[in-house]
Amino acid sequence: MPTPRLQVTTARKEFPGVIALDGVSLTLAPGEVLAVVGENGAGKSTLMKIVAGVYQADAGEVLLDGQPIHFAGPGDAVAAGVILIHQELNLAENLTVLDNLFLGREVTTGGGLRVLNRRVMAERAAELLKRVGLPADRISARVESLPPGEKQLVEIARALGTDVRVLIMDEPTSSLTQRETETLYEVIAALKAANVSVLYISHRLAEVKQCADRVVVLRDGRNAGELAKADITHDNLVRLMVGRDLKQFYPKTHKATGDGKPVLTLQNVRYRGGPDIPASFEVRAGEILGMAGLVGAGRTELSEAVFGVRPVTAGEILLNGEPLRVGSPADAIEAGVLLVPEDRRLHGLVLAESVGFNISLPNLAQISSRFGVRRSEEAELHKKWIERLRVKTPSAAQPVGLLSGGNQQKVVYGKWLARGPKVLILDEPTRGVDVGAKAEIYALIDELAGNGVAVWMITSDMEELLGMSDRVVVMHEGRIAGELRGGLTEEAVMRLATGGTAT
Amino acid sequence: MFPALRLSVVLGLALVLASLPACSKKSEKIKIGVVTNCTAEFWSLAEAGANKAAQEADVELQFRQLEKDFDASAQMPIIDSWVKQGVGGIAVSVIDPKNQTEDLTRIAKKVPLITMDNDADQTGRLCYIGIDNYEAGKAVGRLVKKSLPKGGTVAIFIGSTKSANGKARTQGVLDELAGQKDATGTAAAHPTNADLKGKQFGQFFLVDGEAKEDGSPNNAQPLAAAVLARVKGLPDVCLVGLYAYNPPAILEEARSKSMLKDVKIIGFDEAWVTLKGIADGEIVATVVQDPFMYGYKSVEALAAKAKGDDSKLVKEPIPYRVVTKDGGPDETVNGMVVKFPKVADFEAKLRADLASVKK
Amino acid sequence: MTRILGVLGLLVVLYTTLITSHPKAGEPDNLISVANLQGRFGIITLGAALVIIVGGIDLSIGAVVGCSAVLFGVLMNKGVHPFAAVPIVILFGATVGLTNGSLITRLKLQPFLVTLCGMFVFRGFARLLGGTLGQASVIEGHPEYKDPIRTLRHLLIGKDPIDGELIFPAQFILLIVLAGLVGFFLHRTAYGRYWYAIGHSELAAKYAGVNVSRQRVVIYVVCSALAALTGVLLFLDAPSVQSDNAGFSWELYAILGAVLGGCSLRGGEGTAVGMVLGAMVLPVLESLVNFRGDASDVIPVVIGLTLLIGAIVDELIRQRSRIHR
Repeated sequence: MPTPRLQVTTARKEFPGVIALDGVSLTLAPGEVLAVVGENGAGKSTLMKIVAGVYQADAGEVLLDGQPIHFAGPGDAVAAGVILIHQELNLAENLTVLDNLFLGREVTTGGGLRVLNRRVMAERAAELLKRVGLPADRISARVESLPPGEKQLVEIARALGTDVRVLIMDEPTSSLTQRETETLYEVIAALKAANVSVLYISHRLAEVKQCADRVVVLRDGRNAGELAKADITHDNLVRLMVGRDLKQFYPKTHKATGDGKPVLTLQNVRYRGGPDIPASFEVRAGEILGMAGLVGAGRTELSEAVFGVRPVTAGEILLNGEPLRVGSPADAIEAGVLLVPEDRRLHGLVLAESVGFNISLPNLAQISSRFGVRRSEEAELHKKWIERLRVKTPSAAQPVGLLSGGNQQKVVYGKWLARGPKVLILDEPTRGVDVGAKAEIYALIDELAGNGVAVWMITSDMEELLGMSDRVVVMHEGRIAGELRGGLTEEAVMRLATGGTAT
Repeated sequence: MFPALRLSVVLGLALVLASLPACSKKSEKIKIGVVTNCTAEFWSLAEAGANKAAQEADVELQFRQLEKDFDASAQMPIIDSWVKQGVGGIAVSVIDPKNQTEDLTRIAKKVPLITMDNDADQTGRLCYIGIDNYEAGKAVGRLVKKSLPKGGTVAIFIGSTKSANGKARTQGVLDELAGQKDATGTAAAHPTNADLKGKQFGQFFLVDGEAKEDGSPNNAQPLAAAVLARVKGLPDVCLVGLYAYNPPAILEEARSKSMLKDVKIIGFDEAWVTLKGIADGEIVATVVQDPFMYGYKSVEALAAKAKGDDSKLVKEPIPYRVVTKDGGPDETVNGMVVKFPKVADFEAKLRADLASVKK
Repeated sequence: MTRILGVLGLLVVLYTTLITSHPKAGEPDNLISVANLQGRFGIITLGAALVIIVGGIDLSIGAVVGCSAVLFGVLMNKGVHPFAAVPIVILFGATVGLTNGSLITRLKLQPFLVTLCGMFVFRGFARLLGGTLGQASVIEGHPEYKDPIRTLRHLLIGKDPIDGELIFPAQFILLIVLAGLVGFFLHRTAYGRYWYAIGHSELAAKYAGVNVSRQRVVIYVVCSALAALTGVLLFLDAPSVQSDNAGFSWELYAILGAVLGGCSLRGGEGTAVGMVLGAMVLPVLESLVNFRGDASDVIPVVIGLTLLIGAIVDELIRQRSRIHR
């Protein structure tokens, strides 16, 4: 057996109050694609961060090509060819794509002066962008002007530009469109051919099946098992991850008859900075309306207009038949129209603050007297929602930024559910959420619909869309391209999403 | 990119600037510039006097109270811009005579220049308008002696110990207390409170052995409070404030510490609060300079000079006056007649002077 | 590009208003004295802007200017040759920057706090060093320094060695040279990329293998060294410097210049050209109020309102350009 590219033996890492890793081992052969999966808090991220030099292990060993390594920081790891593509994007958005591709390893002349050699960098950048399937004109674009999917590809291109030996991808496809995901698979195949080893973290089981040679499953900071390529099935994975069989992933116990009363109605709505074509559709009580479309089709923007973030310039929004004026999110929240945003770290949560702080935030009026917040009532509120949503947190005082993605998402639900929503707008409700938490969130959404809440679910996850929706509206380039009920298929959705017409 | 927007922006800004008050006056009148060493009530009186003279002589006046207190480097750009505009004369309250001499000499060659309030005599200025600060300091010293006939404890407060007027005033007080010229005092601890260090000048113990310098009106009150706390309980205490804002600061702190009855306060200049303090018997007296006259005479002299008339240039120091509650007869000191006006009369005259001109 | 449009427009308006406000205002000698002040403020603006670009703030600039000016005078009083005193003062500034930078990066203290404390400390140092100092008083004690001081003044300020008349805007020329250097590093070298990246996202820079702490320290050193240089210039230009108020609140002028010039206080934005343009605004405005003969009482209002309107307009232009992008 040749020397493994990467070997981790009995790695252990303890944080105050939590044992994140309790003796995890794995090996990665040169040119192998190894998927690492596991539930919330299973220790995947910690493991990746140890390999990439962000954390130092308390015990255990990491060998790179047979040599023990001790990275003092991410800089050392990058120098050694171990590159982590983070779940949260790590690009300097104020710089151009070119600058980001070469950040930290610019091609320079003039010795210590380090004068940039733009010509050489531009040539190499063009090559890198081609490899990840981005158009060459993106080189001089500022990263902040790119859609999320393209940003992700820029990060991957950046990794390709280095002398990469081990590439770690944490949820790389979470913001990619279908086509971009295909490109990513090609890139991974090319890397494999070039003998680069890839550690691949994903919650999308279809993806794992498609591109991994082998799967390592973690549970509660320990190795839970391994699956060879041939054995990777949905059921096998889920069993290893949660340690039991999941009966039903997409519960759908609520009965959407399709003739519920329309709760939210959009009539020829246009909003500032939006497309010229007005949007009209409705969400009924007790139904889950799925909204599909490619990244950039204008779904998020439309939801933001309804939530009062973007000023509505024409048309009318009706709530239970009454005209609803939303000048600001406060108006929408007051009316019971609540948004679980796409980027929870930016719009959904105050990351540095505690779980309790975030749950209380939109509910302060209810739990305050004129002498301030009633502490006991607040504690009650925290307890209720942390238990009800099964948020895994040591206490309500834990900074929410330290929770895993799935638990963060639950906190976002918690802060809204306490208000008793009429309309719940979910924008990518399970992005960055692992399989166990996903099932819980689906059950929750199902329950809400069952209680009569009108749910408007924007999603790019086809399985989720098909599994959860009672009805699907598809957007394409800013307009409503069509509506599908019953007999939902991926082909039908994609045809509308790419500009075709419903049959 | 958006030419129309940019154009409208530029036009809009130009309009705003043009419509602000005090638009550039396109007059043929002679212009006179007066610049002070700080912004203070004292200078508002001078400004009133200057305005009066400007009306009488039919000249255009630019009176600038310096925004940055006692900053010579802020004063020079203002003077320079006047020289460039071709003004008919400039009056300046010099901040740092020694170091400003070179620039002022250059200016004096181009434009008629007079100094007021604080002199720089090596610059070739036409004349100096102001009191003799050393003599005025001695007058303060005499007031201290009169208030504490058996001697006692004295603290002196001043804005700057480095400016020429500050140096001269302080030395005048100390010389008078010690009864000798260029008195330096002898280091000593306080006769009854050994913790208090200072210097002995004749029968008087000076707290900390030097004038307490605050550097800015904002610091005057805290400084007064600190010294008051240290002299609390001592008999025969006299507090002296040598810049216009010092006596009000001392008065306010003495009042807040209920020490008004225990200390004598002697002031300088005619802040309204100081005058009221005298009328109420809380302040013994104040030595006043007559800033109204500084402003008036500066503009009068420069306006006449610009018309070729040298006769209005001031040759003698302006006499200082001593304001007390009940007033008193004139005295002659070193050949100069010193008036002792009653505070009520003095204040009435001051208000009349101010009212006589529109600001 | 749109980031400097606003300040460019503001300058055009101010210069036009200045030149039409008085027949003498547009003459070269007035424009030279305005340029000289612009140069002096511009140099500290460069430092402040660099610090802002890396996401920090330096409130100690004014105090360092004052302290350096006083130190420069004191050194010469103590018998240090003027030509030797200049590098010593700049070295002092660099040391201040090293201290600020180390406290901020090593102990992870907030830049606002560290430099606010620095503001008090260095103002205090200035007072401890001495009260009022000027060229004339130095020359009085050391007549042999007269020629070197005059030479320095001629070269760095542009004042005639004999009578002190301002003949060319040396400080502005110095600013252009320094801005050229800053621009070169900012826009043409890898270091500039690091500074922008650090200012926008420290983590992104760190994950790209940039030594964030070292770059930050370097920037603080540059900023304080420029402030020290400005202290030398102030001493050479002013009749005298007083420890209490030399350079007082200039850090605010520097930050104002940087922000007007397109630096975002959030970090990661700014250009060398913008810094120079931003720093040019205030001196023109001051010359304008001097020439208009505004009453003392309205001057602060005029200055404040003009800057505010300029900032509002600038923001409007930027929002427009964003929508149309």
